[in-house]
Amino acid sequence: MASSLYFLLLLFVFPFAALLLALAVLVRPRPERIPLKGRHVLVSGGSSGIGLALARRAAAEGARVSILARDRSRLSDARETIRLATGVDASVIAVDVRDAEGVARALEALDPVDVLICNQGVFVPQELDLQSLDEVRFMVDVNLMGTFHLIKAALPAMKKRARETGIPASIALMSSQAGQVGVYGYTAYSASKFALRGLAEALQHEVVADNIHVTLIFPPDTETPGLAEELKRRPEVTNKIAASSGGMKADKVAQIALNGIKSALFVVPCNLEGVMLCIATAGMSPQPSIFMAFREVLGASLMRLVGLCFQWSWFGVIKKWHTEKGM
Amino acid sequence: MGYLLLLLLLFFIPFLALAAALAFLVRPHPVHVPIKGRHVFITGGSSGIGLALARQAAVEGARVSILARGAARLQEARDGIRLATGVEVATFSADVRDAAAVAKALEASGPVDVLVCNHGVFSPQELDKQDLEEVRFMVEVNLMGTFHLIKAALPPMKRNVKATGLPASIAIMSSQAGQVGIYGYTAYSASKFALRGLAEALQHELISDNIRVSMIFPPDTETPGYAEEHRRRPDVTNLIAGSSPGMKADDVAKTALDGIKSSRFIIPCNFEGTMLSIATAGLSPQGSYFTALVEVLFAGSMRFLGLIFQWNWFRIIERWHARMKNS
Repeated sequence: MASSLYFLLLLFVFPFAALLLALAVLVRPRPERIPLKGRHVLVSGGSSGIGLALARRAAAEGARVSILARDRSRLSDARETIRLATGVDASVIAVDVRDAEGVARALEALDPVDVLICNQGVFVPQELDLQSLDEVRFMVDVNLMGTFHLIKAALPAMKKRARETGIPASIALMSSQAGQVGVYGYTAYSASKFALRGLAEALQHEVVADNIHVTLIFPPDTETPGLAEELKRRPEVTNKIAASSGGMKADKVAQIALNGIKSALFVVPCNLEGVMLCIATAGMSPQPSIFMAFREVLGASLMRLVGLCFQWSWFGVIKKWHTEKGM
Repeated sequence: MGYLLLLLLLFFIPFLALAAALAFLVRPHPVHVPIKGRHVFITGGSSGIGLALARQAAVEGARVSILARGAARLQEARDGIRLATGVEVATFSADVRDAAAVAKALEASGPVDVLVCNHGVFSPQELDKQDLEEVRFMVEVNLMGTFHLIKAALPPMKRNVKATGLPASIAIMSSQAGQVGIYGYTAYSASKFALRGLAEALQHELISDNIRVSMIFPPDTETPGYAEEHRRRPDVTNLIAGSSPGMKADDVAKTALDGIKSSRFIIPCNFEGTMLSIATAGLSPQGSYFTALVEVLFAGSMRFLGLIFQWNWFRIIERWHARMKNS
């Protein structure tokens, strides 16, 4: 009796164990630790919100920090904040990420970057039919082209430094849950954030041999000045839909993001819904973490079902809203 | 014998329950989008997949307009379609990067019922080596060009739908490179991934206007565009993506048109494409309960398969770099 029970248990456990073993062999790029202490961390959009929190935390961990943003006075305030909190003197760079030459010049004047955090972002939600093309272009230029400008400018020196020191470097891109699913009001913003994933998947292939790891961070709505601005413009329907995912504090997001960067993860979710979203949208992305790969393979089917439930709910919300408006 | 029946039932009941749940959940409900006698507007319509789409739509009795940059190629395309089908298509010369020119062309062509944003450019190269001008070119044409077209076509499209009561369609030509980013495709994959974020959000915004969004994901297709791209491809990209076109333009066009007429949100073009679409279903809407069933059942195995592909690709990259170092 006992032996057949053991046999059944083994039969049940065996496939899971076999899967774990297979994944341990398969996962790429191979997991690494990326140290921050004593290394140069550059944060764009670093004068407020998540960027400022990232800069402060990196400084607290002993990194040399540079923050990049448009506004000189906000940069000054940010530098003060970091100095008061950590004693560290951050470098500041005032430049618009849309200015490719400006970004190139600015990065040339700095030490090579070891950890590049492309965190800048603007978001103006509106129905595409009502939105001006200028605003669409604004989001694509800042969120997507700005990121291309930063990576192009930082890469050569980053590669050289990684080669000389033998220590892995990192390019981290701040995406958003809106970069995992597009919802009402987010045509331009989601377009710009989905794009970062295509960029990241291809980039990881291109820089893996240079010991550079690419990381995508997917925060939900986060309490930042940026969000406050965005909420003023949000369509009603978007509010009803976005309520599906809870908000977070900037410092918490920064903590989780930095941990993900240090573990050289490819995708970094920030809360429980984020974990589910990451499993649902794992797609064909590389996955250096055996544990996350295990969750993805086992959870994919359920998460697709959950995703379909969300879409059912969202289309219901949209229909109800339009009926109430008499359209 | 009784036990066998019980086992069979135990297996089928959850399966049937899932199928029933999905039949209830799937959104948006599929509709038939007729093209006979309706205005089909195809960008990049003077060659490749666009030309094949134009010819097939003409054969099915649609009123066809094609838009491209070069007047000469447009003329050739129009003559070619006239010879093959006897149908006269309208031609419009404009660069999709020019929002005003696009608006003018769409005004001249009249309200569109089926907008096929098929234009695209692709220059594969390692981001480190690629000119930012080329990156910008791909983002401007593939992404901003699509925004320009949709903005210009939407108001008259909405009015026409209201007047005729027939559903309209906005179809966006993506690519398998819009489902997974690989070596050499940072800019191209970025531009194509972006289209998905756009499409998911856009479908939310247009469902109540009876306009359906479709995305087509062809593999490498035998077109003049592919021939151009192929000459520039990095070696590693060829090792990963294979060096021969997967499909003929006519076959892609047929699959695309069938999908558009069935209001499918995701339209894969061949068997590998179907597997890729299951793997990357993410949180996209899914109107077909049968496809939804396949997605849910196979999500986990497709993720596992995806991880195997990435393992193989990273091995290819590793080996190639080792060879380069030795020579």
